[in-house]
Amino acid sequence: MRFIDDFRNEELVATLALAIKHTMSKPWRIMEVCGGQTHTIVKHGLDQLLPYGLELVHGPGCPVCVTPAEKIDAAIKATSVHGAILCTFGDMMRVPGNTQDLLTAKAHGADVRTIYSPLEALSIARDNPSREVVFFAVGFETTAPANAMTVYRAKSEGLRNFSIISALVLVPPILRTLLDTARCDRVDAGSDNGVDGVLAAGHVCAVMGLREYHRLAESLRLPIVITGFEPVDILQGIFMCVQQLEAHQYRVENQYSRVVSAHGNTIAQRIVAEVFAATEAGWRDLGRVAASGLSLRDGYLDYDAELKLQLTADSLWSSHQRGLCRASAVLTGHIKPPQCSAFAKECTPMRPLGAPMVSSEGACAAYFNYRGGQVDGASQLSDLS
Amino acid sequence: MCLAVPGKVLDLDGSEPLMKTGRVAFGPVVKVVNFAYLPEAVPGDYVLVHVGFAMNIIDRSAAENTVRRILSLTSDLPCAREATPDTLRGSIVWSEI
Amino acid sequence: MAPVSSQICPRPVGSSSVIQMAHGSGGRSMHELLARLLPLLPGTVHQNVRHDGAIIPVGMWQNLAFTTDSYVVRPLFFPGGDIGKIAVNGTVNDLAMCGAQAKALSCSLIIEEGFCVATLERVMASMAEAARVAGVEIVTGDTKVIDGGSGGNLFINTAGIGAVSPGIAINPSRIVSGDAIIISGDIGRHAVAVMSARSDLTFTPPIESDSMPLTALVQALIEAQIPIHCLRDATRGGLASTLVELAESSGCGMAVVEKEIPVSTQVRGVCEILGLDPVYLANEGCLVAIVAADFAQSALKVMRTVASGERAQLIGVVTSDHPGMVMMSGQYGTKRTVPMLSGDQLPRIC
Repeated sequence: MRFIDDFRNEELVATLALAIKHTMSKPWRIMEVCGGQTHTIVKHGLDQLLPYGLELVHGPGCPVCVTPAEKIDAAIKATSVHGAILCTFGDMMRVPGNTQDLLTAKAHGADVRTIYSPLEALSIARDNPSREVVFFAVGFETTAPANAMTVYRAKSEGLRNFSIISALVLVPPILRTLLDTARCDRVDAGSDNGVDGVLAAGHVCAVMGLREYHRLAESLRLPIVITGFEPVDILQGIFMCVQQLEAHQYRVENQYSRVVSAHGNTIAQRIVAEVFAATEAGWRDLGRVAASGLSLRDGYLDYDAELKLQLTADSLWSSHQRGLCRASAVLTGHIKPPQCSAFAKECTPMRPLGAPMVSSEGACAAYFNYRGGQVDGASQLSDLS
Repeated sequence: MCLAVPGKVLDLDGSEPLMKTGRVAFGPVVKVVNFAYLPEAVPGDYVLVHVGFAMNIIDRSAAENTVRRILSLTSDLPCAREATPDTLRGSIVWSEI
Repeated sequence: MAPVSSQICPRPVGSSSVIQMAHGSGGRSMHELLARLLPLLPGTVHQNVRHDGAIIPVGMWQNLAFTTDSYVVRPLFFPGGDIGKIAVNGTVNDLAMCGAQAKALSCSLIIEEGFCVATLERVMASMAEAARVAGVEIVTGDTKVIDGGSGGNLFINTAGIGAVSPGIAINPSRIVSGDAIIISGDIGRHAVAVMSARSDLTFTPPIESDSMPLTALVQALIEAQIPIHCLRDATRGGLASTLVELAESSGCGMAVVEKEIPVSTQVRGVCEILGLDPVYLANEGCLVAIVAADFAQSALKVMRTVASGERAQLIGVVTSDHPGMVMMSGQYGTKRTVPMLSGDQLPRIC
């Protein structure tokens, strides 16, 4: 398939892997932000092609992994509203809330439907005028436009039996928080969790453009390479990042120029801004971050399922504070999944303790599925340092 | 995050910008996609589709430049074709470690 | 932001007290359920439980293969097949995996009140045609009608018996290190055909289920005197779950090469769009044959002469390394483990 196979080419992959090896003069740690990138790296074993000393840190960019349990509780609560239909993406079905997950709710009789596009939720609402149809809107900036469009259309059509639970989140605020934290740890606590460079999520930038990232690179003094999702993209992103690091530079570079432009998709940005406003948001295992989520604006509150159906759950830290799971350490790049004591023991994709074990893009699930629980050599080596 | 797939626009339908749809071919698979966010696309374009929405036109010359840039690296590199996981990782000992 | 020192996460509730869809998906959940249920049937559980059918000795020289399977596919009709066709072929194939030729099938119908009679007739005609093609007779049956909500449901159970040729012993315990792993055709077509019938995905040309009887393929191997160590049709859970099952029950490792696994361009396209992995997609006319190493090429040659094995391919070898596990070498020479699917494969959006 065009633009897929081209960027999986073996020769290009081998060339880039060699180029990275020949460019490096010292070890570097690079964070790939997006779970889709983590998936590609682990599925294709790209880390096995990298030289010792180049460590990849898996970032927080898996919307399924960072959706707080309370939002899942709210979604489950929505299904108990008489006659309600809950629509969600497949990935969300197995993520545990505080008491159960959506698959279990479905097994107990809840009408939960997996959909491919948010627009399908709208059609379901049109086809079932006597039932409330709730769409569980998860995702980052990439998915926000599709979700915004459903609400925008519902309002313009005067659809009254449709509402959403918004668990939409934004990348730059969490990146700033995580990387600041990582830096503090490095200086103050002496634990070397510092990230030297960042591969930013290409599809987020395809919508939002590069503006925010210039600011981020400047204030964090880190090179940021906007990177695509195929093996060639990722290795080229790493190569460009290493080149900057070796030259003591920190600026934004665009590896994914075939898709990402400086300004992004301005129509999408406009509709998102029309429907949603930035708000403080809870991140699973990471806490609350200011202006890191999207909630419906005043003119669209009729479509807020949490208000409409009174789903508001208890506070974020209400229950289940204890456990073996170290998801937040994984999500902040402090440990690799196999370094968690519960990994592949108490915690498996069958019975996930934390969300990163659920989604196929979650770092823990990726390691479990493709590595059988082994830590890659690079991080073993860096553990010794 | 965000699985998005490139496909080729076959045809487009609808004049009202926010209702515009089109058929997109992903290899042999054809799917109807919403073009509200990409009204400038025309048949023959390759577009990136995410959850049923076309989001960006793929810039062919940028794609070719990307590949060309990588191929230009080969001249500086010894034996690129012999690269395997073993030869690539090698046994470099970093002075810092 | 909460301090990172709170590196703990909410612990969800454990396993479900009710049956979920994943318990029927052929993956890890189903195996755990079986492990819980089978001990409740003392005396009936023997070495055949991890095989597609039971082998029952009748007399000195003759063995009988016996199997049963229920069919609940939705929608009832999909490109390349329907519930009736797979109800025949599925059971015929389970017998074939024991090295048996199906002789007779039973057909038990569970029909929801309100179900359309004409549709039922269509399904029966399809069963009759499938039985004719597979060379098997439907000799007995049963019909039950249940209260239903929508009136749209039909479930079919078929059981089958077949004779196993003397001297044939096909089961996982015969798998040894060095054996060749062969797949009989390209994978994933059944799952994609059913998916396309459920969604708005269209294909040019349309993609059809691979549902077909595999008896001729197996008999060809037996007649050519290929030492078949094990056979398994890669149905629910796909090729990956089949290989993991065989690795676990044989105690050997399976090393497969990703690019040797045949996948049609259509199936690949769907996998790209939905973020699925073809090795987990269900098949209804595709088997994995484990044969003695020296006979790999002759087995391939024989299989490719039969219609259902035209696209047969050598995909890997059995090894004494990583016992009980499946390792796959990828496009770049890198390696990864292939686990059994934990539950249903869910389309990946994000």
